[in-house]
Amino acid sequence: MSRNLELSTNQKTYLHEGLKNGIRLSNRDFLKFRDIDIYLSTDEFGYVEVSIGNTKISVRVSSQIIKPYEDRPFEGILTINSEISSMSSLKFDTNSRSQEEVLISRIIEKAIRRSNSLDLENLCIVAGEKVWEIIVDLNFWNFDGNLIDIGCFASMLALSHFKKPDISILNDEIKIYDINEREPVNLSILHIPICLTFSFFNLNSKEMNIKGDEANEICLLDCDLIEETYRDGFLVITLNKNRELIQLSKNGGLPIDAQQLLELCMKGQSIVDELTNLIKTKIKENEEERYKSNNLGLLEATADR
Amino acid sequence: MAFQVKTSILSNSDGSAELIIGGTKVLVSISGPIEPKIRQELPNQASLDIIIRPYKGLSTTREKLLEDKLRQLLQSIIIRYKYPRQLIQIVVQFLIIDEIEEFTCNELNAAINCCYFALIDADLALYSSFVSVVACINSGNLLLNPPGDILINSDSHHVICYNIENQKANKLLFLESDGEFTEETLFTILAKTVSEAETLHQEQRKIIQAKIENDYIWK
Repeated sequence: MSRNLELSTNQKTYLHEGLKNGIRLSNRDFLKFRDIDIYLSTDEFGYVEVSIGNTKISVRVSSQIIKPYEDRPFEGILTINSEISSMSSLKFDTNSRSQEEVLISRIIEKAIRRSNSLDLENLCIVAGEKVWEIIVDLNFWNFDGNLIDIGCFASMLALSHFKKPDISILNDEIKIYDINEREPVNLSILHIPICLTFSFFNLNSKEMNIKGDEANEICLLDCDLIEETYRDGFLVITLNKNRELIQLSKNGGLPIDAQQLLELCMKGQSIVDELTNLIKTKIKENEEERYKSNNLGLLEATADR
Repeated sequence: MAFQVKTSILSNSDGSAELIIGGTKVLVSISGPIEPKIRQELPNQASLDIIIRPYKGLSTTREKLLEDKLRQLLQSIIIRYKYPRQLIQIVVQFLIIDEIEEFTCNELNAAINCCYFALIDADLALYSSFVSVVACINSGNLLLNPPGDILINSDSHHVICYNIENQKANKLLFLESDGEFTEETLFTILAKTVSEAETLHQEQRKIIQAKIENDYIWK
């Protein structure tokens, strides 16, 4: 694999011809996600591995107690590290950040941190003195397109999976309990933002697209590496289950119709519902498995009515 | 101590391996030989670029130190003159670890053993096989592959890496010790870990045999 992926004109024409006839190289529908494969750790909290096609990623959430920012004494801190190493693809250099890498981490950060999906006030322990810092580390293993959607999805999955140790405060003294001593607590997640990246392909000339009456651009969801290399522009829509629009990001590229923007938001909503439910069912399954394997039923004090 | 290995799991790398050993899980990807940057280029041999990424947070001096140790070892094991003016890039990503931050031995051990499988997967020329073992001395008793909670109370711990020729441990390639111990204890540890290294090598051979059979499955 070389540092710069260069593909031939033949390959590009092949892709375009396929799209003209409504066929993707992977034989997927235009607005269909690849299957998502999820591994949730049963030994610890907040470690997940997610893969979609050949794109693989692992996310670890950890917590520590620190002093809050001076201007925000009541709020905890959420940090997201999304440095992309050259493990995922040689086009990402470990020493210098490329524009693409900055864009990916900004969009993920905007979707999760700035949309207030995590209740930061809930992380406050002693105002102005001690708060929880929640650190999300994204490790991109392999790059086969669509790092934004899968990065956001895996981060939200890991945040839902994570539990921070229980604490008690007695006369300014904070005691942190071991997770085996006291049941750790879930983070309070206000909503689950889901990013959807739509890629646009212009099959006509540039002039036709701007001036022509009919815009025949094609829109694909969840592009793989080859499709992503040839796309003419992309749009990231972040939505949640409550039908709220969190983020719209379209940085240049192919101009699209305003009407299409609305349509994509409407169409995206069903996919968002599907992915949100996937997160919820996986977390529930994981908790049930843990409940069984740790024999937590033995600790129940209430009568089973 | 059993290895759980998966190889060729990353499609963008020339070689990759995921190893679970005890409570440590590590992922290694190798790209090489590839075109180096000008400052990395060596006229008569391949240069090594080793990147270690911690299991959480950003990499610190601790990871840099591990990088140096790993480079020391791999420099002597890869036949570098076969790839002049080329770069071999090795990225080590720790995923799950079983020791507190003050210790590095379980991580170093997992990284070395995982690099072996990744190097084989990447088809790079090696002088010999190698295998690494962790040992710790806990109130006079020798303990191999100690989990993190035992490590904290140990008097000293050692990462020992042997090269293997003709299925026998031949030379000591790398020795990293920390704690309080005498010369005599160290020699006993070395004597006792040889057989462990040889049994581990038998396991390596089984894994590689299975891998190669699987790689040439169309035959």
